[in-house]
Amino acid sequence: MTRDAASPPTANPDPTGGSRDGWRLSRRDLLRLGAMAAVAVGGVGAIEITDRLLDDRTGDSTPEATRIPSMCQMCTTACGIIGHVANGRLLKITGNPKDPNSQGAVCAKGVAGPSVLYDPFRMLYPLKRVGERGSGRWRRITWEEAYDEIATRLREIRDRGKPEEFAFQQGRNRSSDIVSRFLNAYGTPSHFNHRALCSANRRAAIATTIGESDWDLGDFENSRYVLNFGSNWAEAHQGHIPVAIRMMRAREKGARLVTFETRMSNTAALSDEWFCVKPGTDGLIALAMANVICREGLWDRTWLETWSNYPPDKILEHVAQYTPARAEQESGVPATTIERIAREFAAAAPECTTICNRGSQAHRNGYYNDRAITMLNALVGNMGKRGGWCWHPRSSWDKKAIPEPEPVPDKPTARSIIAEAKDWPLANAFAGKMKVAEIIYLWIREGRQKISALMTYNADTAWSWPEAQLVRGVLQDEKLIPFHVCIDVMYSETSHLADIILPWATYLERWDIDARPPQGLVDYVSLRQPVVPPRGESKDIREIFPELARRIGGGMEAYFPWATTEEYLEEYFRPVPGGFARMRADGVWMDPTKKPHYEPHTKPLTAAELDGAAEDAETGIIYKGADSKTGEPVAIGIRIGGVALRGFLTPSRKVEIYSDFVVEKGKAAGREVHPLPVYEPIPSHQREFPDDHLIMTSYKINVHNAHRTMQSKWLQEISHTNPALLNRATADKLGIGDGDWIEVTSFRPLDPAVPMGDGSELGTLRTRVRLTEGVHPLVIAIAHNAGRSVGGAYATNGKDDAAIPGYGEAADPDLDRLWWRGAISVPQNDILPIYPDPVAGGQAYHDTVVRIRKVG
Amino acid sequence: MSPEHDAAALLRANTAVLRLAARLFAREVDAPLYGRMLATDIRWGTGHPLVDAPDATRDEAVILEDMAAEFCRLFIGPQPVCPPYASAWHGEVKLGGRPAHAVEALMVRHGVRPVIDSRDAVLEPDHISVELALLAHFREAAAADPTRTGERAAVRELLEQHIRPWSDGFLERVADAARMGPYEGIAVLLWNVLDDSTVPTASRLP
Repeated sequence: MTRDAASPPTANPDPTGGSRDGWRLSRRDLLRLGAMAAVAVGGVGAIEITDRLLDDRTGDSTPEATRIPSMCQMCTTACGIIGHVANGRLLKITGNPKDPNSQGAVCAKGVAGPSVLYDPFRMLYPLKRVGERGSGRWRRITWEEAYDEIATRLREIRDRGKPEEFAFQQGRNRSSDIVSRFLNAYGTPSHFNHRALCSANRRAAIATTIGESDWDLGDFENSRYVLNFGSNWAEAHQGHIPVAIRMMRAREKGARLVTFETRMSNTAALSDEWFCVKPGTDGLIALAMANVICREGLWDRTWLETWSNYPPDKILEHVAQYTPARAEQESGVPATTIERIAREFAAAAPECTTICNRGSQAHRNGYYNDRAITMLNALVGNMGKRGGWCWHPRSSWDKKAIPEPEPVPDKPTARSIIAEAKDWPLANAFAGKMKVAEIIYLWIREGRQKISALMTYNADTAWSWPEAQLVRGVLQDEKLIPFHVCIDVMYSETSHLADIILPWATYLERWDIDARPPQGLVDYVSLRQPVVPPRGESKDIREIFPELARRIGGGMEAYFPWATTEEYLEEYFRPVPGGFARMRADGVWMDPTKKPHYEPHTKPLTAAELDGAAEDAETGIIYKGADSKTGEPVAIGIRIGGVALRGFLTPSRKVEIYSDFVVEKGKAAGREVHPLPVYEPIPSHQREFPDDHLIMTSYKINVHNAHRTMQSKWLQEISHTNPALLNRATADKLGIGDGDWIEVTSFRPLDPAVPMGDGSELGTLRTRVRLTEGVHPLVIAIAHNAGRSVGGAYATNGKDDAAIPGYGEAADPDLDRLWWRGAISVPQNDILPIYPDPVAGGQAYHDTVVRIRKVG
Repeated sequence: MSPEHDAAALLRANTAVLRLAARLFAREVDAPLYGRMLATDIRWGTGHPLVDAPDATRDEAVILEDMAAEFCRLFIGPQPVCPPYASAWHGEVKLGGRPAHAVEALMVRHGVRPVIDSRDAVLEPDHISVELALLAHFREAAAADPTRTGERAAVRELLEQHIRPWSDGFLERVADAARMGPYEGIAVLLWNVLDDSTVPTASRLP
């Protein structure tokens, strides 16, 4: 032996080097140590090689690829996909032409699925932390150990009679049936989602107005004019591909597209006109357009008189205060432009529609903004009409026709203060689940609700939540969160703070019954099925939850009588002609007898429906039966022009321009809610802005979703940086040049209606500036899906090895191709304040006041 | 000792190291293996080649848990320091890339397959443990019957095309990163076995 045997081998820190001085053993030592190895390895389970081949080993290494239909889940849109599989390996992903929503189209995120499935750094085994929480020290455990420990913990909480102390935090959940089944069977109401970080204000505004749905589905393909208030459908909208393909077809047919947005997004770039607006003034622009439409008689007065619960003249009276001149003063959009567009929009009616989303609703006044925008459609009478502003009552499949297999557990009777979020009048006023996600961890920290166990599922709250550092602090604190199980595909800031990590199967390895709001206005149902088996020891919750239920016991297990997920889905899809087998073959089914959901309110009630019904002589509302819980009569329609029609599903059975319902909800919460669409200026913006004070907005990069795609090597290579976008004129005033470093300091809103709304300084980040004319002069825009510190070298632009205690540099030689190492990637979420709209609770992503300073 | 005996002893030693390495890179050290390693009364300089000296005085359950955490850190992750797959070391974007296909094709040609225990963290045929187990298998077969040229060719192919292109970097990484347990020692041992001049090399290929 030539090596100094007492010292460890000297490994070359340079992986490309070849120095192994001191490693060479003499032949004698090699023999001696080899003999030792023989003793050590004997009978202890080394891998053996056999010539007994398995049946499926044909030796043919290049068979034709099998096409397996399924559904994407790289974002929320859930487009139909085809997995092309050969030799058990997914080769590529294309779109499924049979999917009525996406019609065979698939985006960059969708085709990048294999890079997640086969990611070298994916979590593939159950892990249990060994060191302190957050130390990054883990050991592999068996599923048996994981199940036992989790079931023991959860059983103890349930047996204590405190099921609400088990909290389930989901991110993007496309398995809602099995999640609800498990949580309801357990009895916990502490089911937390991220809706307030997504679309809560918009949903509340739509539900207030039409009752039947909280999601508008403009009939874009047949429209001649689309008014877009801050929807980035070309890049990041919830209906991304289904909307985009229809928008582009409309454009090809000559439709006009006008976009109001603080930033020149790709959607803005695809528009005929783009107007750069001050954040939070979208609703005022819409009200000014309403003013023009009403004042100039461009409205559909007959339709309004028939279907609005508020008379046209009263609407005119209300919107008189919102003049185009006032809107120009606040928003920056010229009054003459507002007038012109209002006239063009009305002239195209009823083949015109609005679309709005994050740009209009993710504000402190987001609910009112979207109320005003929605009202525009009522004014011109396009609601429910071909080419107009439409909707569908089902946000997924027809659950009456395809019901959940029995036995289905009842909803929990226990209460959750956090889930109820009673401070926000409309957060839980409509169908759906808890909608004030921003306050979950603040309220846990404040001790408003005790949590004994937390299960996070596809939810990287520790990175993607506003004030993410507050979330991390709560997750780190074992007194606040005594037990944390994380179910996810990739390692993240949240799994870093777990006690047990359960490796989740990707959407390419698991089952779901699924569907999205039908952009074609006919509901459908889809199947997500494994295109390849789960890798490693990863499992889906459809396997995890039934097993946990059996081990927790206490009756839970009765709700999981199926031996396999396939057996469960076989039963679920029984109502579909051809059943489960058809779904496996096609991936999707749509009832061919169903027609597009146009003007559902005009549908006459049948004689059978009217049998036994009673009518209110004053309002014409037709009632039948009584609500089993409240005893109140149940409205089934309204008499219009002597005909009994279905009407809208609002309390008045009409479009509610004026809503008593929200006023009452406000009173119950101790907050004033306006019955009409109004412009409510953002309090912390009502001030003089010094040159160095700006409004920080956020946006999504087009190849990334909110939290799961940064670990994709393919997508991260395409887009991996988020410099601050700053208007050139603003930068000139501050002496800032392109590429300069700046410090961005954020402030909480000075707003008593917002938690911690004291105007105090919140946080600071340093980044570089990209100058552009494509952003409002008062705005600094930063993409918020960036700035990871954990999650692999690709997700963090090479940073993660320094940030994970105890971890050395990752050993993937592909890192040599990490040409974007060190690129700017800043965590905007850390300096975004918790900032819910006081009415509906949706997060105000675009209202944070910041101070910027050139540094370095 | 005759040259034949010497060669046979060396073969036994080499294949034992290959199999032990295959075992250690595939799964955590468990009590039986730990016991056997401890039982080998052999020293490397002043210490045991596979068991850290202080460990012998600690509770075995604690030692095993520490070694399990070390195995996890090195080979499992999150974000393993030493991914044990050739695909990762060849810069493939995804696991199960071309190196895995090539090993699979080799196994198909020779009519063999690995028997993977459910406890083994082995997903693809280009896992270091599969490649080492194959090498041990073909070396023994070739030695048992020198007329079996296919096995000798398989040994050469495994070494030249599948193992050596990434084993140096992998073993250096293991030796550098390992903080405890048998990983540093087995890396050095394995490097010697793979570098053994008795193994056919490219220069000796026909």
